[in-house]
Amino acid sequence: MTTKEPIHTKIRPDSVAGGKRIFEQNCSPRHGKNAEGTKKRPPLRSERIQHEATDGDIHWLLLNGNMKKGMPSWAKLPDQQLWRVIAYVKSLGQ
Amino acid sequence: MDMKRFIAVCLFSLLLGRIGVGAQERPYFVTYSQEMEEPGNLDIEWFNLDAKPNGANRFVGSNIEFEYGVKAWWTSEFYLDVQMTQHDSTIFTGFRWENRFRPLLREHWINPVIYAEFENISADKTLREVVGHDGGPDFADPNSIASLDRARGIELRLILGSNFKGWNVSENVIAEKNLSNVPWEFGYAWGASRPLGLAASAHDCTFCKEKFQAGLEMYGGLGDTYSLGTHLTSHYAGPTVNWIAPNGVTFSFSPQFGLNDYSIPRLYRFGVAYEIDQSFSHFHRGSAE
Repeated sequence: MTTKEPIHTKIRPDSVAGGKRIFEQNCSPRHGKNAEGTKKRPPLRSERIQHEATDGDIHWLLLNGNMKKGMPSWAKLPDQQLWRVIAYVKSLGQ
Repeated sequence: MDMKRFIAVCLFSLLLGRIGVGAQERPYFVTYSQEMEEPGNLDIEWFNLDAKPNGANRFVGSNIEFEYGVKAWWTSEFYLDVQMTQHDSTIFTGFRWENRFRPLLREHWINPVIYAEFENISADKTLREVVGHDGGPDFADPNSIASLDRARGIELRLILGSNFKGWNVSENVIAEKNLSNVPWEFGYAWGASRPLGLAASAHDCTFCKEKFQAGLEMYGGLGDTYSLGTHLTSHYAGPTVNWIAPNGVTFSFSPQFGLNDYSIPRLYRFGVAYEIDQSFSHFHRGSAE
């Protein structure tokens, strides 16, 4: 899988299922069980995430975080897992 | 939600695994990685060390740690330490409070973290660090005598950590100063680890490779201000492994070996950790679910 090509155009079901598991373990307490957002954290079903942000943009954000705004770096997760989370998040808009 | 209900929710959730997360904890016991606690999460850890120094009684040193993510760049941790020595006694040895700060807010090849700790301990046997001329002979005194020597001090660490292709490599440079009139003492620790599986499997699993992390850890003393060096101090190394159980509890184990005659020949470390997600949100009305 190349990092230059948007991966959501060729989502595989097992990638989405694996990404969903990682999302539920690490992201859903802040972004909501169905990525609908919470009081303090934005929804991930928004137009901005689903259509404006590329897979690479989201990968960069997961890797670096946005620590000033409370988003931690997820560099502790292997790259393969980060890409599966992205596949899952992008699948929510399809 | 009042305090009693909060505690009840925590206890039941610990049993049922409802609010915990299977966080990817590194399997290190002495080395700190650059990874911070997630903001709002409370990690409760129980670490133990079993050892039999030459010419001294076998002991178990334990500490319970409460690690809280204050900000994405700031983690605070409070420790309570106890030790049990065979043919002697069980005593509370003191407390520690540490804070870790990540000055660079983006991910780099090498990520520095500043660590500052205050400790008030005596007769400590947890070996959470080795500094100065620490060694096996320090554990020969009975608890009644060792506990008279109370150490109030600060410990500073420069933590450097890197993640690459699933591997984490972390190095710590340690400087410790007792607040009484003794010199600075120095030490080091490093570790490398990797999950056994990098991809997330599509289905829930208990013993799949991604649930295990394995690696190597090594640490030791570097003398003090008056006599820097690796002689007359102890050094340890050993493999280390952890496993994340389905309910989010992480179990860690490491057999470690003394690398010179001044060290304890063998250490057995084991730990249990549990992370409560968004811990203080359980105080807010209607947010327990």
